[in-house]
Amino acid sequence: MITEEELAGTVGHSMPGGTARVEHYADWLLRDALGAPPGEPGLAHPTFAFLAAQGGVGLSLEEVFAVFGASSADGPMLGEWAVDFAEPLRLDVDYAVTCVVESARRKTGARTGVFDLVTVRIELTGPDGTVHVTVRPTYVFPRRSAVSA
Amino acid sequence: MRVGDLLPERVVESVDPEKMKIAAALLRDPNMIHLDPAVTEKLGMGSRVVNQGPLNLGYIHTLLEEYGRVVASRFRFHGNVFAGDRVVAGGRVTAVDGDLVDYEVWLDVTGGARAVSGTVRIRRAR
Repeated sequence: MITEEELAGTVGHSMPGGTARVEHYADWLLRDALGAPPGEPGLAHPTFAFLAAQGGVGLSLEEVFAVFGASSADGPMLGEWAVDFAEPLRLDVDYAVTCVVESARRKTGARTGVFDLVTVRIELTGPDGTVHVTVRPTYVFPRRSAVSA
Repeated sequence: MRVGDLLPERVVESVDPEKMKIAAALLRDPNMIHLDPAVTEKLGMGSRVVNQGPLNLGYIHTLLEEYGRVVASRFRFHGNVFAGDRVVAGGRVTAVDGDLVDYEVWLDVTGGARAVSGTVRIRRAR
């Protein structure tokens, strides 16, 4: 299991990153899945920030988990998720995506035992060079093999 | 719009497993608990597939989108939503500052527990 020091050492680590583009048909499909009405012309459903950010990290989820010494077999969960829109997410626009580990901390719960909370910051930068959307997922990694302090 | 006002609830009468297939493709999510009831059964999670977290928060975003543009949101996931569940998205105004409105929000499973809680800030439509 990754040590607490190794976990702390992941803070500041950058993922490869990549690009994101919300195609209009994909937005239509998400709205259909949610039962959502059509949105403002040219704008994506706000939940599409989740998909665009995750898709632009440059790693599969399994590869992201591996950065923290975990795998899907450990039962990682998405504990929290946050988004800030400096600009709305637009359809058919190319965004540059960067992802960096913002915080990583070990905790112990009375019922859950030892687990790690990791928050990554994913930024979508628009064609004007400014950050339009910032997404912060927080993953929960159970560390069942650890001995509670 | 005043502090304390409740939004009209948005109800999904029965979470549709067919929609999860669309979401799995969009998310490129290979987790079979969203697709194959045999997998959830094998994992001791019952005989129904599990809704994706982004769809759960998406019901809340959809509720708020009726009132303006979402400019920020924070969500905490508390539990799973399963195929066939009836879920209710709700919200309460916590602050108003010009055209910015803050809400406490949630997604509850009828007859079950709160699946998602959080906060959303919108910029009201003019």
